[in-house]
Amino acid sequence: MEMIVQALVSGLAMGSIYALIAIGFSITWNTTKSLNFGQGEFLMVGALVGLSCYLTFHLPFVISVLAAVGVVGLLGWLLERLAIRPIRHLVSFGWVMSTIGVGIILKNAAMLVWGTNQITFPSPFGDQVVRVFGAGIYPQEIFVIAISMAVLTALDLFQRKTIIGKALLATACNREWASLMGIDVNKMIVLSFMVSSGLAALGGVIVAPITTAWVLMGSNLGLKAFCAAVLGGVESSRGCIAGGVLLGVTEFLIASWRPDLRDFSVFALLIVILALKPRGLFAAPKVEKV
Amino acid sequence: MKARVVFVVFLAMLLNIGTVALAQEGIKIGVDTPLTGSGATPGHLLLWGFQIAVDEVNAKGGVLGKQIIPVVRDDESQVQKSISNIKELVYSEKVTAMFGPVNSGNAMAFAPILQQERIPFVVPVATATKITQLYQNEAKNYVFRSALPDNGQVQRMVAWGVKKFKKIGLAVDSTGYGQFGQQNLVEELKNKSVTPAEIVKFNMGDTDMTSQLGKLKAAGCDGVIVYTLGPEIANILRSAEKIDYHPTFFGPWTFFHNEVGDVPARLSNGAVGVLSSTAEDSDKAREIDRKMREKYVKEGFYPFTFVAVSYEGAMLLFDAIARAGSLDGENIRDALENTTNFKGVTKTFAKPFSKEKHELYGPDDMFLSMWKDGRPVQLKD
Repeated sequence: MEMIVQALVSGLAMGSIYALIAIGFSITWNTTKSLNFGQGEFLMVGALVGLSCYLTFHLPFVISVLAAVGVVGLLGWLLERLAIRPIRHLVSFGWVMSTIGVGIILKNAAMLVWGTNQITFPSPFGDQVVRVFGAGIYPQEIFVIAISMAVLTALDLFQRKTIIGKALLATACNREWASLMGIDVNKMIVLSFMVSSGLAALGGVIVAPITTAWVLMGSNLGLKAFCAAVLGGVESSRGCIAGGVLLGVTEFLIASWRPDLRDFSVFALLIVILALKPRGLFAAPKVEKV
Repeated sequence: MKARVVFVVFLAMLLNIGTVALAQEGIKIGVDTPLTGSGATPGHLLLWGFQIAVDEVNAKGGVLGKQIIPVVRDDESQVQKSISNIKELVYSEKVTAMFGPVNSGNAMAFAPILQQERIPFVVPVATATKITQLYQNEAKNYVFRSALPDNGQVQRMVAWGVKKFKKIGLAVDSTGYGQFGQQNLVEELKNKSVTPAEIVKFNMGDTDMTSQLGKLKAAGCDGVIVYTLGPEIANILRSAEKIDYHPTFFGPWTFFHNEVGDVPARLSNGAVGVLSSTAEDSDKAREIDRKMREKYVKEGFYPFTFVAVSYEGAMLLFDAIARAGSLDGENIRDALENTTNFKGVTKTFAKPFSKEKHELYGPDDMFLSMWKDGRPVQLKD
């Protein structure tokens, strides 16, 4: 019984991280029909920047998180400027290679700065295990779930209630009409990349105390988060959240039963769902007038 | 204009000849070690132990009047990369001898190339027993080892474990190290009429071992042998606390990798591993420790044993080259096999190698140590 509770909580925590990154994919996909395949590396940079702020410079945890989000948000701006915008006019799918390339550059640069070891990121909530129904839960896992839900709710409110948020939604809906309405589309695109990168950084810095921070942490997480986005429907933000949570919980439940099937279960789930609903679980049906 | 071009080309040729001549003055030793990836920590210790030996020997004039030139390649703990490194070192750089690696799977994969090309090969850290036995039945076996071989380590830990624990479980990783280790363990336990109550497997890079440990807990194991590298051992200790499981974890010398030292003492206390030496054991050990502290690990814990065996492996090689009197692979190999009165870091080895035995260390040269408040303390069993 406690193994199941354990798996559910850990799965929910990991799933929240997948959801945060998946929403990032969704935002940039909707505005520009491109996404950052280096998102996993952005997560890794966020985790390591947060780690340095917290451990090396002894800044409070909250400041470290904000610093990580800020730095990687700037990276997102750079990415859009250097790797997305110029490519868009040249080769329509060039962003796939350029974002992968940026990811590789970041990974190697991080290796030079932080080395290759797995670095222990002490949780600001301590590492004493909390017992719930006999299962052991790290306080950090509860924090991850709480913060992710809070941020995702805030993002949803931002998009629906504020002017800038609505402008972002409008750009995502139809770029030409949004620009006709007087929305600065380029600024919205830049904003979408900065938000998406910031979310990845946030995910990285709050998950690092659970998984340890190291330069190779991003690849696997990024890939699974991409699966979560595709699974839930990359165009729908609700879909990304659902996809992330579903993926995380499935992964950990299967792992508690047969640990060697863990990664297999993630991709098997993706294939099964796509076979039944090719555009993802929550994607709106595409209507084409013939 | 044409004269200037000819002049520049002539100058370039002169310079090139100059560097080629310089390069040919040294003895190239190939070093394949992980500097990135999961084996990076012992990978660096291997390199530092080797470099300390190289600096010491070069300061005294080198070997056969020539300086030792290490040619280092990062194998990232990946089998494919290690094979391509060895091919480059053997065919392109034309090294005299090979040193390394950390990962047993890699050593097993590229040993055939070295045996075929008759390049003497000293293994300072990879411990899978089979590595030195691959070519035992051939006329000349080119593979030697200064690391603590798995069968010796396994003998040591099993002899202690079967007396102390009622039910022994095994937790192994999916690499060559874990898998060969599992074979050795099951065989040695069988020799003592013990069957492991449960065997679980995990991958390198896994951070959550709660489900595997759950199985061990369900089987009632009070002693668990963990056969993997430092980061994964540390994660096992953390995951065990999560499911409130407190057996004694014990295993090979990887229990003293830095990552295990990094976990809170309440998690590592009581964990037991195999060692062959510590920095306080002799004057030579203290001297090497001083150099390590000066150049490589200024503060914090590092497992001295790995540096010591790398240093010894390097010294064995240089000593053999000196006695062989030439850079011929076969002569060096024969000289290695005939090594006598080799002064190691903490003891002298009268005749370490023979045709049947290419291991510097045997089970009697090893002891067990327990983590206590963040430091290893020798167990007096």
